[in-house]
Amino acid sequence: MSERSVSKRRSLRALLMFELRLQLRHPISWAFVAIVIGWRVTTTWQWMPDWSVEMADTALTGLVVGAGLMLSANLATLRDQRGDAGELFDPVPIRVDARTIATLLACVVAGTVLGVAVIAAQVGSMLVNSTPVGRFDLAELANGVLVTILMTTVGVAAGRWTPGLIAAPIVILLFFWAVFQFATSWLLPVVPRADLVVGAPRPPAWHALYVLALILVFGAAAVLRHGHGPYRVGLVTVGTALAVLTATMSLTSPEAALMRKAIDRSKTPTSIIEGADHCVSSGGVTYCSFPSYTGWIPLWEQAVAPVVAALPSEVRTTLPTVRQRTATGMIDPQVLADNILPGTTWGRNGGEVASRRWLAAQMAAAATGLPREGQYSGGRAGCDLRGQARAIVVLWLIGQVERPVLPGRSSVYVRERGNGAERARTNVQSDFGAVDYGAAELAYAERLLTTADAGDRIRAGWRKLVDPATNVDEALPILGLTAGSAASKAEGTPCT
Amino acid sequence: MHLMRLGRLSVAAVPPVIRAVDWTPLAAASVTTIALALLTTPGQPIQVQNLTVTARMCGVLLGVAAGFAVVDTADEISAVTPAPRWLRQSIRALGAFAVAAAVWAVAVSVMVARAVTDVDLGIGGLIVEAAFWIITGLSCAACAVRFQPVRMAAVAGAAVTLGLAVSTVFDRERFWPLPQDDQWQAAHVIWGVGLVVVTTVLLLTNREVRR
Repeated sequence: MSERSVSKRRSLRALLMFELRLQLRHPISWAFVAIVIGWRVTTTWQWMPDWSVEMADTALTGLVVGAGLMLSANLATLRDQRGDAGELFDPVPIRVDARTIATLLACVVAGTVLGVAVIAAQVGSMLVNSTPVGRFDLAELANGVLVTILMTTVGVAAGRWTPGLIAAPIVILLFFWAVFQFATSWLLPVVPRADLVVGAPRPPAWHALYVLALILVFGAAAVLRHGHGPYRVGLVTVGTALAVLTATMSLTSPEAALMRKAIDRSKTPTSIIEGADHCVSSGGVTYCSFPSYTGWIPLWEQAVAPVVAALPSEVRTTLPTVRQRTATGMIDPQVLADNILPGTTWGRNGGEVASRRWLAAQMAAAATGLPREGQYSGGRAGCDLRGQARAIVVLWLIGQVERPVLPGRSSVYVRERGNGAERARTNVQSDFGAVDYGAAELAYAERLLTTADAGDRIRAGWRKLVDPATNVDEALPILGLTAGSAASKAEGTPCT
Repeated sequence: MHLMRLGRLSVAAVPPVIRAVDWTPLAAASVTTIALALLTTPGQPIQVQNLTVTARMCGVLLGVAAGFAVVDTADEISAVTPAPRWLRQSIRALGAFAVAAAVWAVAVSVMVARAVTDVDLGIGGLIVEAAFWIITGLSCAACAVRFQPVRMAAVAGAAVTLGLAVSTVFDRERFWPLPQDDQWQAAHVIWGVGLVVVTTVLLLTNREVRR
């Protein structure tokens, strides 16, 4: 090996280390990394990870990390344009194309390091106290890192071909625009998830290779600025051919066919429970989930079984099935009547309290004949349970699992159909849906929860207690309670 | 008397300051904006969600590009002219805002002409958002140039603007609802308040720099 090539290699390595240090320490990249980790960890912290959803969302954040790196890569490349920098660099033995190559390699390494770190931080935080479901897909995560690398490479190429500082912001906006505008296209470097069906098909592993080919094309394009050597032209040709090939393979893959089928199917409305047919029976209750969510059945069971155990034995035979539902789809009233419908989310790190309380409330409502979430009694405005004895019973049943709470109230703006005018409306949102109750019923239920023989008394007087006609005052002797605060009167339409 | 002098000075300062502005970034962003408007679902009526995505992205892009206009690389030399800094910078900011707003309006009009007709497009709300992002781009760059009056300051401003924009994407329901969503009204209260804040920041950053 000649002395010249050794010194060339050594200086390239020194240049690479220098650029890498700059890239990894750049405040813009770090700011974008902090934004991603901060937002993603806080928004996912209280939810159980469903990998089928989170893999795609995590990969998509590669776009944001890439945006920061693209800005810093572009600035590093444009350093030549500052003042007389180009002229100052001329006497240095290393040539401009070596500087481009060093910047490119530094960007690839920095993109890999930061991309992997950001994804690892997200996945790591999702593993805390969690029972994950769905498919953990490493190819998808790799795709997220690759899209970060692609963006830094494009930043270098843009810096070499257009001298303006505005090029990088424009390209960043183009990336985001394309992702939002053509969200279902698998030609995107990173494909956002389509909420068509549970476990919608995702691009195959070929897609990651497609992004790799694009990186090759843009990297070679950056170097091509300094002259058309046979290697460089060859690299662009190979990259382009590979990109076309992998794009075709990903578009003609069996997954793509499944996706087209899913899109077609989503045009005709399907039932919210279609496909939720993985069923397990336990303690007299049947639990059915979508095939990829079986891991959550024990969590549902823990929220439902204590309520069922507190019921009189004759009621236990008429309980509905706990069946998972999708967020959107056709809702048949008969499905609502026959099933309790947990969704595709479940809480974690404190968030499970609300999930458990909600599911327990559905079972308690079903046992006591109350309307459940999605069922309406008293019209869309909901109904009022104040003053009815069964309010105490149902809240006591919830208390077997989690502490019952007062209904939430929210003020929403409602746009009227037709004239488009807006008006404010107060919505009641309790665990039973639009069912209201007061502090008096809750206070009695809480007192009952500290009473040892409450369960026996409730089971003995069940028929009378759950009768909508029985009021709180009539129930107190049966429950062994003394009158506390003044019983509240129904403010809205009483529940029937 | 004082006001009349200021008025004459302002009128006299407009042409040279506008000439001194580097319009290339805003021109590039304008071409991109119009191109994006034309490329939004070509050949078929534009749906509300596609229109809002393009209108919003263009607002952010024009804001970032407008930021380049408030960079006066000769700030220290311009300081000896009779026009105070706040006047010179305000002329730059107003000029850039006018161009960015006009380009955005043209782009959105192009899309509205091809949009579906039976639904509310929420143009009023979109205008508030675009104003927020254009002025945010201007004020972020205006903050940065106070530290160093170099073109790189505009990139720092752009990075902050883009950082703010991507932060809001993580809570799309709150910040970026569609006109048909319940959160539309509440989101635009946020954008309206934000608009007042960033405008105040812009006015404050245009003051004289202590040297």
